[in-house]
Amino acid sequence: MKEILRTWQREYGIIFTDGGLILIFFAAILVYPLFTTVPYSPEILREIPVAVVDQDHSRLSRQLVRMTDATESMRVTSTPLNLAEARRQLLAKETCGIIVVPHDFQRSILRNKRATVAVFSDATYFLIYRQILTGMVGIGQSLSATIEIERMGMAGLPYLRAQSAREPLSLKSIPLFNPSGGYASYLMPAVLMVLLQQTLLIGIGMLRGTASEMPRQTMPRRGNVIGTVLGRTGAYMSIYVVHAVYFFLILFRFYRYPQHADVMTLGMILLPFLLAAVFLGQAVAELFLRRELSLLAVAPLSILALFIAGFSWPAESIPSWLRTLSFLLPSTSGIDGFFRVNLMGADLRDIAGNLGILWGLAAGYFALACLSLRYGIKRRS
Amino acid sequence: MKTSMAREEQKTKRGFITVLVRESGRIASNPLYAIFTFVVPLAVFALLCTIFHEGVPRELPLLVYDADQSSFSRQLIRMLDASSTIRVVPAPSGIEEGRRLVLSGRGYAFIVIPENLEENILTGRPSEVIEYYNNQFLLPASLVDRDVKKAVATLSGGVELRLRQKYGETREAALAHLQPILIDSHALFNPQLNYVYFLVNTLLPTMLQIFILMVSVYALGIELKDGTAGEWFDAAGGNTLKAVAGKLLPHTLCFLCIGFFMNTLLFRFLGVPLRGSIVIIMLSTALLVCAYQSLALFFVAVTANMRLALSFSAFYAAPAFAFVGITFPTIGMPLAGKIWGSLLPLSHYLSILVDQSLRGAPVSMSLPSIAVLTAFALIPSAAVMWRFKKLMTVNTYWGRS
Repeated sequence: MKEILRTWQREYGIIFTDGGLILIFFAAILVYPLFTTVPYSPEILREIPVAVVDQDHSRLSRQLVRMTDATESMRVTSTPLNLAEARRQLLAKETCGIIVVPHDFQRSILRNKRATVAVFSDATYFLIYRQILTGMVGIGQSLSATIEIERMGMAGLPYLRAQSAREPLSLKSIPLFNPSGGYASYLMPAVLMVLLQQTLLIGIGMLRGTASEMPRQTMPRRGNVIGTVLGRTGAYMSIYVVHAVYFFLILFRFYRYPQHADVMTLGMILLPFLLAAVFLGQAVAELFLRRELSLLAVAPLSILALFIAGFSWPAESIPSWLRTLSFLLPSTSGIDGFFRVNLMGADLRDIAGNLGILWGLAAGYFALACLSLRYGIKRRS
Repeated sequence: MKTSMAREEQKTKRGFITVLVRESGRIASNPLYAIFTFVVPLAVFALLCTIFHEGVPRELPLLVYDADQSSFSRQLIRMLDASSTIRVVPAPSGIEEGRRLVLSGRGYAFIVIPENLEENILTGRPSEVIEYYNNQFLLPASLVDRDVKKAVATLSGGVELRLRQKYGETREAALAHLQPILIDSHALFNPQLNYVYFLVNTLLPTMLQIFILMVSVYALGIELKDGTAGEWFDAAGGNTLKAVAGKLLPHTLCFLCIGFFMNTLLFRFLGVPLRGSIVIIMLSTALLVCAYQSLALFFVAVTANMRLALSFSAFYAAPAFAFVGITFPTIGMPLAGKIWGSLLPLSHYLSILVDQSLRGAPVSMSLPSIAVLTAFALIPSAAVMWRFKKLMTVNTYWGRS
């Protein structure tokens, strides 16, 4: 116990007097979330520039152009005369989509034939493609409905009135969570979790690297290995609990990200997540014989941790052996569990699997951390 | 006379080649360089290729609660299951169970087929299938939703068509009534919406730039930290330009190998369409390497501290993907995001890459971005050259960690 408190205090002493560590443990945590949110801060892609090639110039085609311009997702920025010119503009990135209204558009509709509107959208950017498609399908449906109602009035057929008001079988799609499909609310919570994990790994690695460079000052010659690991854990955990409060109670409110879980539930997932990361950090720290190595090794892997977590790219599509390996990173279960309880409002029983893995990792990495520290002491003496 | 000749001879010996040889020796004797130039980047490439190997997600679980249990509802389920995107998972005990299963991650969406569906359809009463989809998992949910919509619309169209034909309408007129306006959508440049072309194509260079920057910063900064900068400067015969060029060239060549391998991997083995100029892509890859090396010199010179420079590099390069406008396009970003994105060589490189691979744009369209990459390769390093000389010669800058 004495060993724990002494180590705890000593770690504080090192961390708070080392500019490099303050940068990783505090400055990065403070600035990084504010910085990475910038590109996504509008949440939704609006007013995508599109070109309309109107070959019909009729009342209906003009109505379609007006409706396109009026939707939130699109803005008609050019009306080229032909498709070739429209293609050139799209290649030059002046527009992101082309809508072609055929020359017999109105005539077909008036003759009770089906009219086809071709939409070409830039699928080098999936978000643009999806927004244009969703917008145009919506416009097609509402214009179709208007036309059908006009026709019904003209025809006055009883069966048409009954049938055309609604399709025989329709689908009502209800988004369960993140209803607006906001991009920041979707991505940032995961980025924050990865940031907690990665800064812990880098910081702890840097601490041990520094100790390796100057063995006399910071390395306990002998003594209680478990006590040292726990003391260090106490120091890091106390700092990261403050960070978690900053991220998930202050920033979440500031950015209005969905927040379904209460503080207790959040703690139940964040505690094993942070513990697992802290022990993992200590387990691998002895590999970093020099101060800068952890930065070099851990920082580039953040993107990988994010894509392997199974929330942006579906877990079902990742080969199962790799999926299994990915659970060795606390971020994989941490992000999934956090998403479910905090963003989707699941309760702890729905994420029992994630919690089990995280506690398992914490226990396993604790043992590894002790072994690794013992090896480190042996190597130096 | 003789001694001055010897000195002259020594001076010519010391210079670019000496530094080049010295650095090659350093690279060979420190396994870190091999690890972070070859082993880790290639492993990361392999992992990214493995993660996204399907290209288009398949067999995503969709929970179905069938309250009707009729031949019609089974027909709908068969149609859903036939989609390559969807794998139907029955949720037999109702809506509450379906919700739970979505929450615990057993399905990306949950559909409820109402009671008496078949009876309603046969008697001409409109019916509704309800789908709850998990929008927090944006990508898989939207794929499942798209195919559910398609299946329901097809089924509904078939029913209506039969109904109208029964009332004596021609097939064509009936079709026109179903939906007078049809939206015929074309996904340009990537018709299958393949994630290998979209993400792997852009993520590999993103990973590469992190390693170029960090390894170059390490190679330059370690001389300051270890206090060997003076010896390095002497080896160059006191010429800053020769010292820097000789030092960085071996790394340039190593990263060029990786970069060209990356392009081969993308276009040969992963089948990313190459509709533009491979020469322009290769040239840009070379410029990308030089641009990040130039920035490495800049960061080391400005901070005069390797670890601080590495921290800056991590801050600069690791979140770059958020700003390059691939997943969240540049047109949607606020001004600050656009400005920061334009300060990253990666953004310009990816714009060339996408233009010359998927989009098949004319070469002339990529020239401005090539000019910007060249500027990145020249300006930051030129700007700090005088300061770097000071770092190499004044030993108070050495030994900082």
